[in-house]
Amino acid sequence: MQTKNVCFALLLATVCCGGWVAASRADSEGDVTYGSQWWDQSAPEAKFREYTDPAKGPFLDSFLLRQWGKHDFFTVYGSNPVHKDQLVGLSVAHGAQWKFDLKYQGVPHLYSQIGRTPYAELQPGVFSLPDTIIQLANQRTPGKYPSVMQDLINNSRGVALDVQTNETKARLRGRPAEGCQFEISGLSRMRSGHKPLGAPLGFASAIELPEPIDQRTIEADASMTYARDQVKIVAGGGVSAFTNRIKATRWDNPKRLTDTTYASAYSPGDGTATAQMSTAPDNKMVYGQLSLGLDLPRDNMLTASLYYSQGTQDDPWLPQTLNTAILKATPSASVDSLPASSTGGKATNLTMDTRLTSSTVRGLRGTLRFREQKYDNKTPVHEFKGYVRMDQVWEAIPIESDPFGNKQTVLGADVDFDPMSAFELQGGDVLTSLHLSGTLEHQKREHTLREVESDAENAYMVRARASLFDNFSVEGRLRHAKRELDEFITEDYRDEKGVQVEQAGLRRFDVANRNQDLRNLNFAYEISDMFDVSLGYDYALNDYPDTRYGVTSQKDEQLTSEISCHPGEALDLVFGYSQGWIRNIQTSHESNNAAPVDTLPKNNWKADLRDRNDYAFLQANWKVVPKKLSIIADYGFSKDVSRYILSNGTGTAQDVPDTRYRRHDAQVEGRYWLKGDMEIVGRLGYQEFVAVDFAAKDIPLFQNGQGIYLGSGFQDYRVYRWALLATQHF
Amino acid sequence: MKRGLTLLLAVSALAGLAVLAAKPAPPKSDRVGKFVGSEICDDCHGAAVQQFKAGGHGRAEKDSALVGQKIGCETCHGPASIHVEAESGSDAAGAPTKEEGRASLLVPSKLPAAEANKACLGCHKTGQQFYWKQGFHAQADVACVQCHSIHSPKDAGRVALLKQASTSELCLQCHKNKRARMARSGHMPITEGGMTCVSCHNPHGSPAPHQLKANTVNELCYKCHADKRGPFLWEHAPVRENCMSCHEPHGANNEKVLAEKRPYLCQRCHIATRHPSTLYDKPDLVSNRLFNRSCSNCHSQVHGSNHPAGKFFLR
Repeated sequence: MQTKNVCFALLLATVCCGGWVAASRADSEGDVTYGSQWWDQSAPEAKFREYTDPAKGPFLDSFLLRQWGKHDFFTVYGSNPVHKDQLVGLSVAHGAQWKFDLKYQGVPHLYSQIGRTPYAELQPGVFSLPDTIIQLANQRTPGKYPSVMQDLINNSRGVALDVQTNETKARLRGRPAEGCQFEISGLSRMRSGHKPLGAPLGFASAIELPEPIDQRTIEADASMTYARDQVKIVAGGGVSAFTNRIKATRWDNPKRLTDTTYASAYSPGDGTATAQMSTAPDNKMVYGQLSLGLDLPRDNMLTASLYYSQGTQDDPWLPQTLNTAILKATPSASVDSLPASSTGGKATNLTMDTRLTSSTVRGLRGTLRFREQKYDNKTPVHEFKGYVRMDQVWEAIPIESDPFGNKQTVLGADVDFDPMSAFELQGGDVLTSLHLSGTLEHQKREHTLREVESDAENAYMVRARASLFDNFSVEGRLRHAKRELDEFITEDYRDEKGVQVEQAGLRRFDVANRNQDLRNLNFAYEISDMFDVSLGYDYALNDYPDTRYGVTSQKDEQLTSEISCHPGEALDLVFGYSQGWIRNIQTSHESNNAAPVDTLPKNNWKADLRDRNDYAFLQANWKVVPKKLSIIADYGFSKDVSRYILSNGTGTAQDVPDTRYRRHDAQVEGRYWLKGDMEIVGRLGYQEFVAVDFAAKDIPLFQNGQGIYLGSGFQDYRVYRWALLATQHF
Repeated sequence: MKRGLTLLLAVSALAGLAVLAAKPAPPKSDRVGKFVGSEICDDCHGAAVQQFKAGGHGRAEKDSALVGQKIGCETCHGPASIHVEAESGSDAAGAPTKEEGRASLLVPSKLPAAEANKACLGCHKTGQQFYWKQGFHAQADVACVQCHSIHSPKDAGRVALLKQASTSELCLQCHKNKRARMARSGHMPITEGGMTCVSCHNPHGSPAPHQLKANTVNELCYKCHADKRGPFLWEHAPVRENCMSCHEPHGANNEKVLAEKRPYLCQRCHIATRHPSTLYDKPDLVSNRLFNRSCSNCHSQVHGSNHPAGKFFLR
């Protein structure tokens, strides 16, 4: 749906619904903010408008209209209409009998404004290079390829790298009788634009294309609720359908005009004339849910829910390759004889959840819970005689697909004890409230077709929170969990001939034995009516004691502090500062030859990866002249630093440079009340972004005479912005 | 075992402290109020009554029979007769004072959470609130009125009657550590308003872990990223199991909220022969394995491929 259509529909709805409600002698209220805004950015870096579309020139900032009559209600609201990040909504209701909501929201995602590509997109998903250039470069004078391509790329077109998501939601809720409610909702999500896509033609020939995105998701959902006395039941179901209008991405090989094969996939990419890649396939999901809630005697409650979904995907497969030379050179029965014409993908998800909550004993509350979730991937296993590697060479290695599935079963018990309530005590001078909580949890997981097919985790958690002296609160939490795998299937790391193709000591972190410790400590202290202070510390450690290769340790810590200051009725100040540290340690082993894997200790290497994050903000709200002039100021600062400390058995490893991202963002807003119901608003803003990242800055469009990139890296920038607005209340 | 014993001792000590430090509750007043209806409230509290009437509660007031009870000011604030009598200026002997009148009213924001929530949960017991009693916020004694304002809502359209214009801003008042995470260079459009905390979490409770709005992390992500839903011909095991194997939804130092920079992200699991196991260090800065999008320069279909030649996610 286009913006114009939305605006027209909104206007029509406002006139019709507003008139209808007004006809029943309505009260109304609302406001509208409009004005003009300017901004100037020093470099066309996407970060400033990554998810927003700030207006330049006259614009409508926000609006709200609420009308209510004897029985009918109408609301229309929005912000930044007609812009890519607009939000508009309306709501119509007739008492408590029914209510209809409609909401339209745009979410832009700007990747880069400096991307360029030598390819012409002849039609969506089909990328072509001029034949004359390729002939000159490859067939007449192959030695000139780098210089010819460099010329072409230097003169190539700019390409918009952004994706726009437009979402329309409609919902009708009604109450046909007491205790009975229904809800019908629908959603349309459209996503379009271009985003970077890696499309290789060889190990050294990485080509980046602006992948066209033209996708739509439609959802419809209906549910019915019955709640009477001690029983509540919810039953519902729906369908979600995803459609991709681009079925394939096809692109010219800059090094060839005619197909050929190349004996090794390690070539620089002069194999196929045209390559083809599949895009996200269409898929559907239907689902149903039934939930039951029972209020049992003596403040007990039982809830049970059953959820079932079935997802299917059956898009036709593309051929193994468009490279005709491979088809000629290889027995066609091998390349052409695909085991099926489509995946026949089907997966079901069955989830059961049951909880019994009891508050029978005063001050003591407990919950017993059981949850089982099974993702059953029923997609058939497809066996292939081989595959075509990067459209260059037929690899006659039999391969088969792995329809991975998983299952989790969780059994837990939670207890919360409030001794003050249990013993009917009122807080004394020191301790005013106290809660003690505990949890025991057992989780069993199953992983279909993985090297670990099942594991189990036992966890306990204790938490205490207390209020002291009526102005000091403290909360602490400690959770420890230990996960152990049942059996490690060593054959999974060997090929069918028994050759070791994966390091025997590798334990992938998602299925490895793990000890997990989580700790939180939070304080809040109201020093006086003028000052509040809070301090929090979070700690998470995942330790993998039996992992020789892979992630051995992950630690995440964060310290958060905040000070609020209210020196008087006229001024509010909030200052916050946070510091975070993440440290991941992973070990690996360099094994540059073909299988079996190398095991020489000197080839071990280790990466000690450390993030440090600083974040500070200041918010001030100053009512300079009460009910006349106020000033609101916001400032935010963030600095994200990552370090990559590398070491190896031979002592030759060199760290890659640190990456740093730093941002300052400041805005001051002044509001002045004119006579009547009008406010004049002035805004001044400044933003600064500095990036130091070896991988994402100054990306060359043509690398080493082979790789072709979009050059969509980061740039430093500064933005100055100012706006003058008026808010009319009515 | 030793740690468990220490914890048990600490918990016992805290419970003991509570008993020692506390004193018995005082007796309550025996004056009983009566319901007087909402009309009289309008005389003094016009603005508050207007806001009440304009919102969802005003709608419920019109159809008391459908919502199961009469809705009005006294539904939440309790019988107002003592307050009305006190404010009427009666000097008669035994008439309540203004202080007594105010004290006779229930003010949800000043009540303990469990008591304050009773009025709300009387009606809001299904839909979003189906799992309230079993949710984290109920366990943490969060009152409905800590987030919602009946009389001065600020959310766009006043649909959810929130105390802040943005849902996320509301959540971040308590979940302060998330504010810093969302400020990291790689983040989802939360602070920009493209989505909010409640796009993923149901603050009123849910049977799913972390009060998610879907059964699993992946089903939640597929709501917006349905292109990743599959099932694919070639699946990537950790992707199918949990999107959070690689992504940090609350923010990260890396683009696409990746938990680690590529190639080290991929090398957490891939250390087989040849290039997956190579140590990419400073001399390799110009290598297409380290530079730009690293492994994804070629393996761009890591979420799954439906191409017959897509085993290694290159097609």
